[in-house]
Amino acid sequence: MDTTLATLLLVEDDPNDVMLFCRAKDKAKLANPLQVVSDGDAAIAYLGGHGQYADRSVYPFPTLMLLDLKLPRKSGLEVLEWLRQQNGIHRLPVVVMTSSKESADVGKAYDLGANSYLVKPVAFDTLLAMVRALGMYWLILNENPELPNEDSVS
Amino acid sequence: MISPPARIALIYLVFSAVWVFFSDRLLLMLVTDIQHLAEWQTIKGMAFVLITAGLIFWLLRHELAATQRANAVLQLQEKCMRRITDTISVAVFIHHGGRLRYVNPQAIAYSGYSEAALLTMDLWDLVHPDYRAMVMDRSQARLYDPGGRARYELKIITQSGVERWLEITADTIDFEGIPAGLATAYDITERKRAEAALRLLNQELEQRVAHRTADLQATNRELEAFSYSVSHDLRAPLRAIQGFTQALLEDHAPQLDASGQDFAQRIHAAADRLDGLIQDLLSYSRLSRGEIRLKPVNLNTVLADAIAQHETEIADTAAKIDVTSPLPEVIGHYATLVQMVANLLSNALKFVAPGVTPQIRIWAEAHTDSVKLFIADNGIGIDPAHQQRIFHVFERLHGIETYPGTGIGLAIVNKGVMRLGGEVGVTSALGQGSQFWITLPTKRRQ
Repeated sequence: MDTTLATLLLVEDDPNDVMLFCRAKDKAKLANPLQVVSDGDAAIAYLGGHGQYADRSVYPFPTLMLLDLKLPRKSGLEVLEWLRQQNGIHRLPVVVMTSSKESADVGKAYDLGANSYLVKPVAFDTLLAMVRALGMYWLILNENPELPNEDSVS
Repeated sequence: MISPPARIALIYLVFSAVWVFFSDRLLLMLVTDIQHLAEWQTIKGMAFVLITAGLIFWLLRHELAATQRANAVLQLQEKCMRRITDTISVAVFIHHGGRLRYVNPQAIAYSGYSEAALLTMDLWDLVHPDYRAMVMDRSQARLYDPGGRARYELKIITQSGVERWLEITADTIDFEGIPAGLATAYDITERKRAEAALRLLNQELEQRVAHRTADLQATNRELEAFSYSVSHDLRAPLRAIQGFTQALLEDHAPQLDASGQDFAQRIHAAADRLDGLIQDLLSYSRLSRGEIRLKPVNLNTVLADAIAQHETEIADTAAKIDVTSPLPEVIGHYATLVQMVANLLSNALKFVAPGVTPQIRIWAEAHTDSVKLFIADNGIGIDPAHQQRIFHVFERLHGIETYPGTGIGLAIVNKGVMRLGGEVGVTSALGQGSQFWITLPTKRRQ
């Protein structure tokens, strides 16, 4: 049943932030399945369907990627740059979700093709509002491009 | 004018003609005694010879005196010219196709050679090899085409082998009846040395500036890296503290007694405050190092934006904000101006006595090159003794319990106004409200 709902891929190395995101997602009653990877290499492996992520029935191709910028191994910006060069999956909507408000980071992220840029709020209530808006906008209102997973599912 | 010999011949001719024509008639009129006519004829002939001799003598002497006078004047002039060329501190070289014909004492002094030696040399024998071809071309060209006056700088090598910089002015003159090259020169060695020293100094200075700039840039990069990691790393644990304290309060409140809940709330509030502090510090550091491009900015929009940022506080306190619009345009940076005005507004909303409704008035005064923007409140006011301190980072006049804040708000205003080339100030007294003002330029500098 879950497979009918779009999958969210969260690329986040801080387990606290992952827990808080899950809590906010639950509170926002966002039923979409969530996949979490904790570094840049894993994100690329997931998107490319390599190694342990080869089985798309377990690890479906996401409809939206939430990407932290400061990650171990490969940074979020490197993941983004890689993704935009991959035929077939390069259109995946990417929402950057990070701590940095530095205009250099923001600019770089957009240059590399981020679709949105969010700064992780400290207050949980703000995070909750953000996750609600995120679900409403990207998973309900937004018309998403055709991506490999949708072919295999439908 | 006719020449002196012709003049003499002409006077002689006229006199002789008059004599020939009139002397016999005059003699016939005067002499009645015909027998003695032959004798009178002889006397007349003698008189003619005597008179013409005297006339020619007088004429020749007169002309000679005139010539002598002219020669004396010429000699005097030449002596004068020589005196000038001997005394003048400019070197004079006269050459014919390069071969030196005349040199003055200064030329001898500059070159170090004797006059006799110089007069056997070519002009370019004196010149530094770098300039020799040029001088050779120019001095030989003057043989065929006098050309105009020319000015150039070159180096010569003196007899003792020392290099000397000269500034040359060259022209063509008649010398001893033939067109010759004239070169006057004065020594600019000192000037050249000073110029070279100045150039070197400039280069050193530029290098030093480049070094310092590189150092500053390195420091700047370190600062950037620092604030980047503050932004990233410090806020992550804060999110956890805040989020999980809230989760604790939401999910496990029944297990906590009243003081346990109070503790959790305090942790929550402290994390909140710490976040505000970090955010403000980051804003402050961004303002210090960020690039600010000055552009015309509409203060009305700035104010509308700043007021929108405080919508909640304004609604909560039922504050009255009275803006005298339209406000003028200034030269500034939009985001910085919004932040500054928002901070001043936030203070005006915050620092009121309990139970008092904030009343804020905002207006602007146009000056010649600037605009003065006022934000006046009915707040608790500031003791004049503290009015200088409040613009520094972390200066707080009140306990956190009475008036929460980070103590960075006005420092941000101060830093911002400095970056925008304006000023900030306050007039206030305790209990009398405060009137903050910022001046902003209306014209671009430079």
